[in-house]
Amino acid sequence: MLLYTPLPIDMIMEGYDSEINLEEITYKGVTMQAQPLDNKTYKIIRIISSNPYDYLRPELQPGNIIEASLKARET
Amino acid sequence: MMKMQDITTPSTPYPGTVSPGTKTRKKATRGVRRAESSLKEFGQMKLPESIDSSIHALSIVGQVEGHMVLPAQNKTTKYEHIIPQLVALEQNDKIEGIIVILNTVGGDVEAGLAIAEMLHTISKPVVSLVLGGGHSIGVPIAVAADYSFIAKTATMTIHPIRLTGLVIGVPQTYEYLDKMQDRVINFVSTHSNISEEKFRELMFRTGELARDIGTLLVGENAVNVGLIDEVGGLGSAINKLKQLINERKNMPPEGVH
Repeated sequence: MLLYTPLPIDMIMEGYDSEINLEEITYKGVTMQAQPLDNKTYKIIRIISSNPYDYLRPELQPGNIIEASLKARET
Repeated sequence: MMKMQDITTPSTPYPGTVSPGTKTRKKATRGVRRAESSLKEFGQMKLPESIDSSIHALSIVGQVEGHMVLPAQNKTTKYEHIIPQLVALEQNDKIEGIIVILNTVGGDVEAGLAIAEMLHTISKPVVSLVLGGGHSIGVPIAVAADYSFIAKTATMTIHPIRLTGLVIGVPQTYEYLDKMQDRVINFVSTHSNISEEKFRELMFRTGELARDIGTLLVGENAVNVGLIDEVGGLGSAINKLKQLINERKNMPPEGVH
C-alpha cells in the first residue's frame, strides 16, 4: 500500500495496534462486517455483496448503526 | 439511536444547531431533530428517500482507503464501497448524472486511481467540485470528471509521493516510487489542461510549502494552471451537470462522451 497524502504517517497510523472486534453478520439479506457496540447494536463497517445496488441502499452505508434483533429475525 | 431528549439538553456539543424558530413548529421540529441525530452520530445527513433524484452525489472525504483498513480516528472513503456504487449508478437508468464532492487529504494511490478511472469511464456526465481540500490523490479524482469546479477558498496540494514513511508492504525503491508518481502525473496531464511538464514543475517546486517541496493551489490558481476547469460552488456545479445531461440526451444513443 502506498499512501499519497500531505498528512504525516504517525497521525494516520495512530491507534493502528488497537484491535477492533469485527463480526460477520447478515442483515436484510446482505452479508456484512460489523462491529458489535453492545449486545443489541452493531455498527456497519463494510458490506459484502455482489449486487451493486446494495451499495446504494441508505440503510446499509458504512457507519450506520443497526439493531442485532433485526439481524436475528432476518437471517 | 440517541434518545430524543439528549439532543436538546444543554450538554449538547452544538447547541446552536436547534434554532429558536423551530421550537414553535412541533411537526417540523421532529424532522429536524431526527436529521440532527443522524448528523451527530454518523457525520452525514441521510436524505429523505422520497426525493427521487436523477443526480447522485458521491462524496470523497477524509483519507481514500485502499488495501489496508486505517485506524478508526481517520475519516475514510472506502474504495470497495465506491466502486460497486459506480457500477450501480452506471446501470441505473434513473440516474442521469453524478456530482463528485471532494474534501479529501489524499490516500491510497491504487484506490484513488481506481476511483478516478471509474469516474472517467462512466458513460454518464460527471461533474466534480473541490470544497475545502482536494489534496494529493484527490487531484486525479477531481480531474477525472467531465468538468471540474473548485470553490474559491478550496486548496489542492501537489507534492511528490514520499520516499519514506508512507510506504507499507511495497518495495521502497526509487524506481517503484517514480513509477507510481508517473501514473499519477500521466493521469492528471491526460485528463486536464495542465501539461506533464507543468504538473511536474508544481510537484517539485521548492520554497512554496514551508517544510516540503510541492505547491499549494488555492481556488483560482488551480484554474489558472489548467488543472481545474472553473471556480465555482454547488449551484454552478449542478447547473453544469444539468447542461451536460441535456447535451447527452440530444446526442445519438451510441455516442460515448
